[in-house]
Order: sequence, then C-alpha cells, then structure tokens
Amino acid sequence: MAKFGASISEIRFVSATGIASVCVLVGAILLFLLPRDDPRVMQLRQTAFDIFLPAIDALGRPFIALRDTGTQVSQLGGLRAENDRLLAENEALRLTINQMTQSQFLMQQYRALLDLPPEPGIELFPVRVVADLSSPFVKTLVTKGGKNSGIETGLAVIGTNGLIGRVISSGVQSARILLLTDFNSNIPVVALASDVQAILSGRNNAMPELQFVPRKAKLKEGDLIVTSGRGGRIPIGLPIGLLRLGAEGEPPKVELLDDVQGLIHVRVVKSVAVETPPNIETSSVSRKAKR
Amino acid sequence: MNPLRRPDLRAADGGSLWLVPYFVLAGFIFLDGLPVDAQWVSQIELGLFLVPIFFIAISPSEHDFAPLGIIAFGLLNDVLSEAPLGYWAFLFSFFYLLAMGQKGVLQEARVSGVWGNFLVAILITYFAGYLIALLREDMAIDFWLYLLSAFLTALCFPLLYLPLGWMENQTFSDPLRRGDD
Amino acid sequence: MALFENESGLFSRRLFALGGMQASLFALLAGRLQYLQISQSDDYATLAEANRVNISELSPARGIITDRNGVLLADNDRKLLVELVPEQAKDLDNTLAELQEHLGLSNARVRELRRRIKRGPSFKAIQIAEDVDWDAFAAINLRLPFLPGVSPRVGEKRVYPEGETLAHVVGYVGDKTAADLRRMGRIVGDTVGRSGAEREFERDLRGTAGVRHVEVNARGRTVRELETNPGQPGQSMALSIDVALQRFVTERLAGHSGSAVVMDIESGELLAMASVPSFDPNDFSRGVDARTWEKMLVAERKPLLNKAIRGQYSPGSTFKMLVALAALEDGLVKADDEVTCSGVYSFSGELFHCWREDGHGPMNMMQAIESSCDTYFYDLALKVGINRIEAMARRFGFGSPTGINLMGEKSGTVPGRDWKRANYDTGWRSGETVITGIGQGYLLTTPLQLAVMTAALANGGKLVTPTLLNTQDAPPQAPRIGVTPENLAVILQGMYRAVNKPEGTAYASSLLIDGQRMSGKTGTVQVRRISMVEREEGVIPNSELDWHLRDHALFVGYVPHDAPRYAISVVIEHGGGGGQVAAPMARDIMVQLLRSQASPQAASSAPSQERS
Repeated sequence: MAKFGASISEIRFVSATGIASVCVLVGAILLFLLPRDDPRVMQLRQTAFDIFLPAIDALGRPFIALRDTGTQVSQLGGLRAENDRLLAENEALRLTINQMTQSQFLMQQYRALLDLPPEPGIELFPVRVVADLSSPFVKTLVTKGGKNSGIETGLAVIGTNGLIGRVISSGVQSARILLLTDFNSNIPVVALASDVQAILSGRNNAMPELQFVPRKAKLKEGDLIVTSGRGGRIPIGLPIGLLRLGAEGEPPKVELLDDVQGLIHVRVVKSVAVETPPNIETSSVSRKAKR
Repeated sequence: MNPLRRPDLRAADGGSLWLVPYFVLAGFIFLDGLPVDAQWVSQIELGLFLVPIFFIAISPSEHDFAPLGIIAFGLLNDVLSEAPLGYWAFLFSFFYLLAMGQKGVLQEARVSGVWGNFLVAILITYFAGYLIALLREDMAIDFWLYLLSAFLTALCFPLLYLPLGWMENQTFSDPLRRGDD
Repeated sequence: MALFENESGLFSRRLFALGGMQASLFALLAGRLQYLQISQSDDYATLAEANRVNISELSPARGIITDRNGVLLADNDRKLLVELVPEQAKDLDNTLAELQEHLGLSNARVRELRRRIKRGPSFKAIQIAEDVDWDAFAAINLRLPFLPGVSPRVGEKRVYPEGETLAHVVGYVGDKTAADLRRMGRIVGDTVGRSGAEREFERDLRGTAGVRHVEVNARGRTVRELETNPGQPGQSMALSIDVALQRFVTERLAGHSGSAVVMDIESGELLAMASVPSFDPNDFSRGVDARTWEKMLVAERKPLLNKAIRGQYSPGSTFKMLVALAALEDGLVKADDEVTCSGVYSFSGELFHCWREDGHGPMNMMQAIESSCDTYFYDLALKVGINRIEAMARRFGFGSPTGINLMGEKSGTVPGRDWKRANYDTGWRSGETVITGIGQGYLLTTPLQLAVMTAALANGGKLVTPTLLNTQDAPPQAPRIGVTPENLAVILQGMYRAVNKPEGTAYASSLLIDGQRMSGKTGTVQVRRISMVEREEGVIPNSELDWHLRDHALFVGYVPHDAPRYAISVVIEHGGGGGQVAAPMARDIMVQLLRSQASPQAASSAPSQERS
C-alpha cells in the first residue's frame, strides 16, 4: 500500500511541479509584457479596489482602531498640557479667521468693482484612507469614497496641514490618490515670498523637488510653497511646504507641511461657485478658456 | 510525534479547512495596504503572505492545481499593491516552486528545519525580486532594506505557521490518518 | 523508500546540511554581489559604461551682447518645450488630442506631427511645441500621469531687449543650415548668428560645447544623470554703441526711410548706427513664417536692409569738400579766387543749373561751401579734372569698404576714366566731370563712408576704420591721408559757415548747447531728371511729388566745431532738402549726444525735439 501510495504521490508531485513551473513562466512573461503606466492597467486597479474595498476596509479597521487606542493612551499622559496648548492655538486661530474673513470680504468687493466673476469657493470633503500603497515603487493612497461621494479625478487632496496629492483615478466607491512624493506627480506651484513659479516633482522620497525654476529667480530658504492654480483644477493658494535650498547645482527641495505617512483622514478639495454678494452687479466677463 | 507533522488535508474529511491558508493569504494581501505611521516601514516589503504559500506548498495535499490559485493571488497582489503586473505573480509562483521542491524533505523535519528552509527560500525569492527590479527602470529598491524585509518575514514565520499547523492537527487527529506509520 | 523513514537522525542532519549548503551558497552569492555592486562598482562601472551610459553634447550658453555701458542688447532666456517619444505613448491619438487641446496646436500642425512620427524612429523624441507659455506648460505637467511618453523640457532662446532699435547692428540668430555647416565646420547647438554682431562675432559668442553623461537602462531610457560638464559659455561682447543715443536717433528718424551714423573721429567707435524702418529681431528668434518674411523682403522701404552700410546714394553737395580739397592740394586755385554764379552754367553746349535759380553772385571757396553754390563747383570740377577728383575721393575712403566689422558692406562707386571704360566700354565725357563736381552722376557712397570722410576732415586728415567694438584703451593708429593743414582749415571754415552763418544752407540748425556749435554740410540729391519744360514752368517742389521721386536729403557734420570729437552723417531717402530735413535731425542728435556727455541724467530727461 505504501508503495502504491508513494508512487501516486510521486506522479502527482511531478504534475504539480509542472503546473507550478508553467505558472512561474507565465508570471515572468506577464512581468515583462505589461508596463506599469498603461491606462488599461490603471483602470483594472481601480476596478479591483472597487470590488475588494469592503474586505480591505473591514480587515483594516481593528488594526487602525488598535493604533488609535495606542495613540490615545500615550496622549493621556500629556493631556493637560495638550489642552492648554490647544486653547492658546484656538485663540490665535480665531483671530486669524476674523482677519481672513475681513480680507475675503474686501476681495469680493474689489472683484465686483473690477467686474470680475466671483472667486470660486473651496469645499473640503473628508474621506478615510483605507490603504497606503507607499512602496519603493509608488506613492499612492486608497480612500473609501469614489464617484458616489462626488470624488472626481484631478481634485486636490489635503491632509492636516497642507496639500498631499491629488485624485488620480476614482471608481464608484473608492478612489486613488497620487501623493506629491510619487515620481509621476508634477504640480504647478509658486513660492510666495519671492513670487517664483515652478513645478513640484516627486522623487519617491520624502522631499519633492522644484523644477523649471527660472534661471534668475531668487529663492529664499524657508519660503512657503503653495499651489499656483495654473493650468488645471487645483485651486490656488493651497499650502504645500517650505523651501529648502540644496547644495550648489542641486535643485531646491520642499519640506512638506504634511507628513504623508500614516494618514487616516484626508480631505478632498472641491471648488464650488460662490454666491454673488447681494446688490453688486457683475458683468459676464468671459473667462480665459482652459488651454 | 512531531506536532508539526503535516497531516493529509484531503477535503474528503474535515470539510473545507483546506481553504484556510488561502484565506490567510488573501487577508495578508489586503492588509498589505494598512496605513502605517513611519516612513521607513513603507520601504519594507514584508512578505507575510509567503507563509501561507509555504504552508500550502509543502502540504501533502492532492491539489495539483494549487499553483494556479497561487499565481492568481499573485496577480491580485500586483493589482492591489501597485506593483508591476506579474511581479508578485512571478515571485509567488517561484517561491511556491522552491517550497514544493522541499516537500518530501520537510515531511519529517523539525521546526528549526522547516524554519531554516523557509528562510532560504524567502531569501532566494527576494533576491530574484531584487534582480527583476534592477532590470526595470520604474522600480527603485534599497538592497539592504529589502534584505531586512526578507529576514523580518522569516522571523515572523513561526508565529503564523504554528497556529496553522496546530489548527489542522486538531482537526485531523484521527489515528488512521497518522501519516506513514 | 528508506528516505522516507522518519526516525533516522541522519536524515534531519542531512536536511540541515542541505539547508545549510543552500544558505551558504546564497550567502556566497550575496556576498559576491555586494562585492561587485558596491565595493567594486568603480571598476566594473567602466566595463558597463558602454552599455549603460549615453553621452550627449551640451550647447554652451551663448555670450551676451551689451552696449558700451553694459546695457543688455542680446541675452539668453529659457524657453519651455514639450517633447514626445512616440514608442512610449500608449494611445497616440488620445495623447495628440490632449496635447492639441492644451497647447493650442492647429490641425495642420497635428497632421505634420503625425507624419513625422510615422517617418522617424519611434524611440527618438519629437518636439511638439517650443516656447510654450507657462499656463499650458503647467497644464501638461499636471496631466503627465495620463500622458506617457510626453516630457516637458526647458531650452534656451535669444532675446533682444532693445528690439527694433538695434536690429541691424546686433542682428539675430536662426537655425543652422547646411551652408553654415560648410562655412564654419561643426556647430554645437541649433542656432547660429545670421546677421549683425551675432554673426560677426559668432565664434566668440558661441563658446565651447559641454558633455553630458546619462545612465540608461537596458531599453535605452534615461534613468539618471551622471557627470555633466557644462563646457565654456560664450564670451560677452561690449559694443561701442551707446544705446540711449541709439534710441534717440531711431526715434528722431521715425517715419522716414534712411539712416544715421554717429562716430568717434579718433577711435572710429560707432556710438550710433540706425537704419529705419527696422524690424523686431525677437520675431526672427522665434521663427518667422514664410509669408511675413516675403512681405518684409519686398516692402518698399526695405526694413531688413541696414541702409547705413548697404544703402548707396550720390553724396550730392556733401562731396563738394573733396573737390575743393583736391583743387587746393594741387595748387590749382586759391581759396580767395572768385567765380560768379548766375544760376546757370554753360559748358560744351549743355546747361547746368545751380539750385538757386537767380544765382549767388561772386563766390569764393568758403562762400561756395557755405551756400553750396553748384556753379562754383561745376567750374572747379573742370579745373581739377576727373582724375584728381577720383584720387581724392579714394584717399578719403570712397569706392572701397570702410572695414567695419559687419558683413555685407557696400563699397560705393568712384567713377573715373578707367572705370568708365571698364564698365561702359566708352570714354569719359567732360560733362560727366561737371556733375561729379557737385556729387552727382555715377558717384555712389554709403552713409558710413560719409561719416568716415567727415571724421577724416575733422580729425586732421586721418582715415579711421569704423568699429562696432569698444576699443576702450587702445584705439588703433589711423593712416594719414596727407592733406595740408592749411587747406583743411579752409574747408572746415566753409563747413562752419554752412551751419552757423545766415547764408549757410543749414543755418536753421545752428547753435547747439553751452556755446558748442556744429559744423557740417547739407546735400540734396536729385533722383529724377528735370526737363527743360519743367524748368521753364517752375520746378515741382518735393512736397507735390510722389515719394519715390523726391530728392534724398543728406547732412554730414561734426561737433564741437572748435575741438572736434564726433562726426555724424544723416541720409534720408526721398526726404526732400538736406537743410530742411537732414540737418535738423543731425542737430538734435548732436545736442542729445553732448547733453549725455555733460551729465547722463540730464540727457535721459531731455525734452522731445520737434520733427521737421
């Protein structure tokens, strides 16, 4: 019996090996057949996320809850100090909000005087991150919420302090965010203090680089880098990071305001039309067509 | 008797418990995208899903078509983890083949033997992954972090493998099925 | 079967040995790999270089051109480009459609791109658009994840801040052609000086090429940049031009067709050389289409021509000084000898008219220069003879290029017996001497030659070579023409009176500033024949003639009258009378020049001069 069983298992072993070898071959062929940035592949990924999102979400929750608990426990210790700090920060923020509201009102008045159409407002739409696919290959996040929540491709996404990336594809109930640090990310930005326009390109590390800086531009260390709103759907003025000048001959880098690691909650930025202030007529000035 | 002795997982007895390793595999693939707080962690490619694959590979089951399932999971991992299509499909299958080769040898092995074998297999597989990355222009891998990933995965091996083995032992502890006594 | 027995400790040991061997083999491999990759990378790098490194040439930064005070005349700026590597574009139609939308490409352009993509190798990058504006560039950058194969780049372009003002002097650059390669050998980069200083000083402006090493993967795609040697940038050139003066001259001549040259009489440095109408060299830098080019070529007033060196005109009365000098030098007449002008001079059965119909009356040499009496010089020319006139003209640089560092300079024409024989196969007629005496006939000069002549008269008889470069420290020694100072003084006295005495043809343009005066000579050149009938009925004034039938207006002069430093020549095509049109321009320009010399601030706030 043993002899027979053994020979059968041997035969089976051989055929299983054969199948496995074929699989290896197929894998190798696939690997060198399809390049990664094929739009069809991107579509496939988006669809897969749509399908498996519930499972991924469900599996991840306990771990995230655990992590949050851990964070909370460690925070309990410095609770009182934290409270004081937050109160102070709150005061300062209230002041800033007042100032900003005033400025915004003034801006609306000026725009009306100049016959400009009202500036689009910004709506922040919170979404939860379900998967962080940051790896040596790519820097993207997956969120729960897609077209069903009004998340469209191209919208900017901010974290706690600033811009972290934008939506690169959106399925029905999930969306993928291309982080600023990814190789494929190129965002038009402006350095606030020196008013220099450039493109922020990810380098698959923590600090993206500024490219296409005009030759005679005078950049200042620590300057705030914000979105310039040029050429696309990303609104102007979203803070991104601080300028860090590199060594001679090296492109300047940007230290991001937001740590893109470990984000759970992010916000998608949507532009909405603002209601015109009452009693101020604005003529229909044709806006420059999107080139 | 070796508590790790692999019983026959034929579906005829014990229902569909042979699916458990596949579920664990799927679970690890889904969990791969867990948002973690530290930058350096994102650079590490923990291959925890290789443990259930190892388990499946060296089990004396009759499922000759298991490799097909493995490569399918590999493709799934590729799609969900943004790796180039075929990367993990290839590596899963490669790893499976390596592990399969040890099947006979590991039937009566001690824990340390299985563990050591896993380590070697995973090192070879990760090394293959590194070679592939070198050839492609869209993958930037730090050699040492990658090596570290392999060792860390191997370190986690008993944590996952023992429960799997124990669970099946409990189910199949039928004297008639005690291996080749 | 014994292999599968389960109690032999030997078996486990064997397994361990097997595993151990595998592990050590792997360790060996890993160690070797580490050794090769990391420790020995330099050695093996060289071996791999040929496969993995691409070497390309880098165009060096082109040298800038400034005026004598450092004001930028030609500079380099970045231009934004968009390129496409066809083989990397997954969906070519989609990609082209998006590019068309964002860059505003015409359908014709897209068709042309498709043709180029079909023809060329698919791994070579094609330029989709150059000099893209920032908004379109930003939009492309944003869309890059959806546009595989598209790469935004930055390149260099030449800009001319002064635009039309110095178009002829500075020139412009254009794409290199096969002819350029034949002429200059290997050229790095795409652009080459086409005209003006850009062309003249091409070698110095160009610099030397750099080298760029990039690492490419097995498929030839760039992975990262290795070593880069930027090469030597081109030299910067400072021209002798004073851009503030040049701007003034261009404005003063606006609306006319002509040119003006202002020169330092000792060093030959050109402080201004304006030719109007002009063109914007920045248009050429961007690439001008065939239609626009055609239009410019055939335009009546020839904006593309640098009239200062390529316009050839009869010098008219401005030539009279040389006729007079020729007579004095050979002792044929004395300065005091008088000739009576009755308005008409009869010779050999022909009638030659003076511009003043009723005549000037008795004239000596200085008076004749002052009033520009044609009769006096008809007579003088016959006394001197064409040979001596020809010789003196050549000594003052007429008939040959001045040697200025610009290409395309015309030599003008100095007629004579040999010349007539060679060109017309007939002999010289004395009647032709007569009209040569007043600077008409076959005589042709360029405005630059007139300026050089004036400078030679003013600086005591040295023929300076005009130059566009700042000679700064050491102006080269100019050869002496060899005319007697006393004779020269007579001529200069006549020129002084022509501007500053009531009978002078340029009297309206006298008095400059701070007691400094200008000396000079007007010229009015007929371009048509006036028939006897018209003479009887009354010569039609310029204002009633079509533009192309009007007289050319000329003026030559120098300042200050007592200690000359700068010479000027102004030639206005079909402008009318030299005294009415050219002289006031020259005066205004010289006033501007003297003001800026006295105090640079005052010059920049000078009130605009009235136009005649």
